[in-house]
Amino acid sequence: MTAWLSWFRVVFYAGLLGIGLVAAGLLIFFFVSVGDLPRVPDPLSRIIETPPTEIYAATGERIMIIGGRETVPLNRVSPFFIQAVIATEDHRFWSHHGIDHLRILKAFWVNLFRSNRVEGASTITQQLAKNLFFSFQRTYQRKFRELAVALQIEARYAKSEILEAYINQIAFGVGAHGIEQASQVFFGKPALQLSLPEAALLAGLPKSPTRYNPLRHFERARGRQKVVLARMAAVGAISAAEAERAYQTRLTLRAPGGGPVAGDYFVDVVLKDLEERFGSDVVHHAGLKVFTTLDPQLQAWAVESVQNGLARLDQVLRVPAAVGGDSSAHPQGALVAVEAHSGAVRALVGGRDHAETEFNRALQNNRQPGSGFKPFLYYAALEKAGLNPATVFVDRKVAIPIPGQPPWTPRNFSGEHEGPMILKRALAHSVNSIAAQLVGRIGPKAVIEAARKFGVRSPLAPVPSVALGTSGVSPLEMAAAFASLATGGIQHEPFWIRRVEDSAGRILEERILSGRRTLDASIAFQLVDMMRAVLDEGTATVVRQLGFQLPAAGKTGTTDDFNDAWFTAFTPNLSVCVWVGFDRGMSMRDAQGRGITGARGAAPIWAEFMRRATEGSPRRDFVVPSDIRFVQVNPLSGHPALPWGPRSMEVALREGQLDAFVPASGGREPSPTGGGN
Amino acid sequence: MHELTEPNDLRQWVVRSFSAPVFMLGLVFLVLIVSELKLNWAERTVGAYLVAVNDDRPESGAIWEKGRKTQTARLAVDKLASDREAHQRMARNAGTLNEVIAALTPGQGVMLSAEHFRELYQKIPSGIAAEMISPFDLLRFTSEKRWTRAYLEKTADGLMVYLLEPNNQVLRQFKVAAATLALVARRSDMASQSLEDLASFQNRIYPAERFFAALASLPEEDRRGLISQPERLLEVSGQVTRVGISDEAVAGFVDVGVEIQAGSQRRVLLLQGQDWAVWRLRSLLEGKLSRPRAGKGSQEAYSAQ
Repeated sequence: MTAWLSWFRVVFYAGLLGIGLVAAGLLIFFFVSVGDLPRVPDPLSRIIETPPTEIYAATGERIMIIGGRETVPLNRVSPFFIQAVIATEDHRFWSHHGIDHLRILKAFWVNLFRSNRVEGASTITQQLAKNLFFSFQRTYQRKFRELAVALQIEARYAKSEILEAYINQIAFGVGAHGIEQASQVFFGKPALQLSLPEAALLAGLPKSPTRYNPLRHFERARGRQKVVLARMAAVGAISAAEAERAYQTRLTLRAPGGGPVAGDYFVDVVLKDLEERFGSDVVHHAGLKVFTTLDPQLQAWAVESVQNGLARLDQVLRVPAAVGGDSSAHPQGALVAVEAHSGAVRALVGGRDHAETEFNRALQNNRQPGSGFKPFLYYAALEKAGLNPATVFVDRKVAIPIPGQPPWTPRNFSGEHEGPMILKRALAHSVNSIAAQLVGRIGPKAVIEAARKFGVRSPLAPVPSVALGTSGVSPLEMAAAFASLATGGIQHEPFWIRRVEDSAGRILEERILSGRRTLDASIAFQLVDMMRAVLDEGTATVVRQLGFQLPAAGKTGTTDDFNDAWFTAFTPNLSVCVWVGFDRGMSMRDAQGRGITGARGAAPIWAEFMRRATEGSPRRDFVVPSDIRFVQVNPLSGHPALPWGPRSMEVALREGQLDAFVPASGGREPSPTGGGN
Repeated sequence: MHELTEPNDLRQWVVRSFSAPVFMLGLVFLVLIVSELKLNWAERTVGAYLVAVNDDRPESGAIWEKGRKTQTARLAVDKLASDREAHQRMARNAGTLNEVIAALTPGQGVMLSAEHFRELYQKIPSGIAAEMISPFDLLRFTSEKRWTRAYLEKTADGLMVYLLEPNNQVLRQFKVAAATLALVARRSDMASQSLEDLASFQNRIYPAERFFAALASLPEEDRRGLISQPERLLEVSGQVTRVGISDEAVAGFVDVGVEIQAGSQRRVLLLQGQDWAVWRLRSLLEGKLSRPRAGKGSQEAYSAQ
């Protein structure tokens, strides 16, 4: 008995001592911890003082806000949203003082006894404290500090101030911070006009903005909306019938293609450029006004055209719909539209869906352009080798010798050879054997030199096959390069920012739209004339079949095994490049095993976009230099066309190249100059 | 006092555990718990304490970090904007092209209105100005009302001038070489000394009568090439006594020094004549001459045969 008593005594005194020590420890811990707690700003609204960087389209429409918060007072927010967020996040918000005791006990119980569930007990004030001051690291010390700051906020500010600060800074995903921005991004309306179903959908997002992103996972977001509505009904904010009605109401989200929204490929490019020039902190914290070159209407059409084209391609390639979010299983696409006389990028689509993958195929994708590269070869051939569009070459099997290696033996796409033909026809029909003969004559370095004159910057391998597009380039490069032809040889650097101002409207930088002549105007026009034939009677006649009838010139491109399909073409005003292909470089073939060419995969997208972009525009022809004369020739022999001969082809010749077309004595047919092999 | 002594057996422990003081202690504890649940006094006390010591605590955490970044970023942008404004202000107040250029470092540029650029252009000797851009082109751009501004950018070897449309599209761009800029700079020099003091004129100094007599015998085009704005000479008070011709040609121009006597003071006014016109005058003054030969860089030297 005595032993038992003695044991009891030890326990009793040890317990007393323990309690004392714990109490003292807690007190010390409290004072030590609060000593370096972050200072809470006063007034609390100071948290949203960072001026936003605003990005504007060329039309003056604001397309994105970065960094700052578009704040709204509580009375400018739909009461449904306020009810929804309180019911979901912290339904005793109005009565507690920073800590919800009952919720803590419940969370303690759930976490302790239900192994498959984890329940938090953070109040709105605690969440605000966490968002303002602390990292998202889950430690007890962080939790304690967050709780202490929450208590201070509760002691200093009114509930309405706390709630207003909270709803103006929570993240809703896709770059939207604060309820006003979220309301605009997802529903295209101010927060005050949110209906119950819309408010419930938005109130559910902060739990996991990516997981419940309604633009990408609509059904999942609807599921979350249902939870929010149920919570609202449970706390008495609405009736069960109202909740059910709201859930059944059809939601109309702002279409991602209806205009550039936060996170679009174009905006990414602008931001990257701004960060390189001004630094990340200035871009995100100084409140710049950035005026870009984007035409929102063209951009919307570009997005639609690419999405429609890729949907058609999905059908042709029989890509299973079940692949869902796996972006690599779907073919991707890119479109860049460059204003020819300035280099301004008017529309840019870097992929199928920015929410799915941010990789910008319009700029970062260096894929082989295939025959799309041939215009550079032909320019070099016209300039360096004294050839002209009526020069005859023979389409035949060729073997281009390469020192120290086996000869290069490119094959035609069709696998057949058509014999003699003029260069214009060879380009229009994309005859590889003749392109090979041309590069054999002028050398790969001349082709690269020409490509550089067009503004191509990507590394190009000095091998004969470079002429057939075996070195990678980006769609932006191709669109800008072909724009040099649209302007008659004046090259403009592509750009997307016209002017940058500070928040007070003072100009920090503005773009001077200067170009420089890099191509001979007459040769450039000859090439344009040859490339017109690509659309009118060559590999891209599909463009005309699809209803685009304005003057335009371009070139298709398809790589080996149908990994890439390109179409780059231009009017006198606009140069547009379209690329489609798999990110992983897989072959694109339909059910019959036929490959997807530039004409089949990319040109329809180009045609759809350009048909809409030029609708109602007056017909405008390419400017013809004064020394250009048009001559009708036999496309096979290059001889001047005879009334009784085969269908003729019009070629553009420079004055010095016309002599050979003067009929010789004795009535023989004249022969063109510079005959090839 | 026995309550303060330690219980000796289990019964005493039990009795003591259910005594009034212990009960009171438990009650107090219970009241504290309930009142806390009802009144949140603990939260309020801690909150009030933290509010009281708020100003002593560090400005740390995400929101303060962001504030600092905002402050730094604003300062950086302010500097950019004020630098640019200073250049613009200087450009607006500049009376000559050289004043504009002097305030720029390579890579910097200023935007001028078309009117202002025309004013600066008119102050450049017509020969040099025409080398930059034809006045007829400027007239055409002005009449077309498309030209609104000019952007001047200093480069390592001169000045790039962009004549701009309202949307910043370049109507015409041209480069002005550093040597030409140097000429423009010397254009208004008025040295308070005689021609002998200027080394480049020492070999060719002519009495004014002889110089102007030879000048008068040249065709009008040659005379304009040599002295593009003779009315400026007429404006100068004093008597032209001698004229010197420099040994060097720079960017197609040769300095012509006009010595003016005003009372007891002598001054030299520097003009720039086009080299071909100067060569023709010298051939009259000195007999047949060789064409100017190329010198180092952009400089060329004359020599009599």
